Amino acid sequence: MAKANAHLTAHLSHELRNALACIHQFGAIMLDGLAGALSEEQREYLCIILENASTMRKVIDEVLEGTKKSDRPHPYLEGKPNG
Amino acid sequence: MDSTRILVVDDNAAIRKGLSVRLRANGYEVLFAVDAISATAAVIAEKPDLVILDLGLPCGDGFLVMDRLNNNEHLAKIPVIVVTGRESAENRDRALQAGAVAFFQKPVDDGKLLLAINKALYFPDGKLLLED
Repeated sequence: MAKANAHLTAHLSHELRNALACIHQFGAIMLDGLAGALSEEQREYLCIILENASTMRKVIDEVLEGTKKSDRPHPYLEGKPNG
Repeated sequence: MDSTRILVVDDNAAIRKGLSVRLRANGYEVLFAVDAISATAAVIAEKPDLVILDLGLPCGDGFLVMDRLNNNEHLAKIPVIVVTGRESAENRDRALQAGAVAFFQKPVDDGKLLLAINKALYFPDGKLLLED
């Protein structure tokens, strides 16, 4: 189980962090005006996206760290309760 | 004056695109490789000033690329910055021991990455041990 957990954790880490990196990377590119000027409203929405991407990173760190230390999959990976 | 050339090695096209936009906006010329074999070939052929290297690659991995560069005294001097989605704890020490000047886990902060690039280019003999 520990070996399977480690493999799953490594795979999830790679996939989730790559996806998150793309969100963060292109959001920052747009926010910095590298893809053209933004309206105030667009800037506000982009900030919300990036703030939530940061939150998602912390959740990923916590879940993966918890999974590594446990013999069992983290509850997030076993199926989160509704809501 | 020739611009500073950075080789971005990552198998994810969106990551390559994002890094290239950021790096070009900061005056760097950007080259690409998508796997361990083409990365080594690109370093040999192009001799970039710096390499941004993912660890999880097809046809080998980032450690294989660093091993090959380390076997050539000229190529071993090219600074390598690792930017990876892999778990950091077990890979950070190994990457730094293999010669990487900095290690970042994705998603990387652009400011920190640019700072690491500048330091690696201006202080090529120093071990910077920068990380996120």
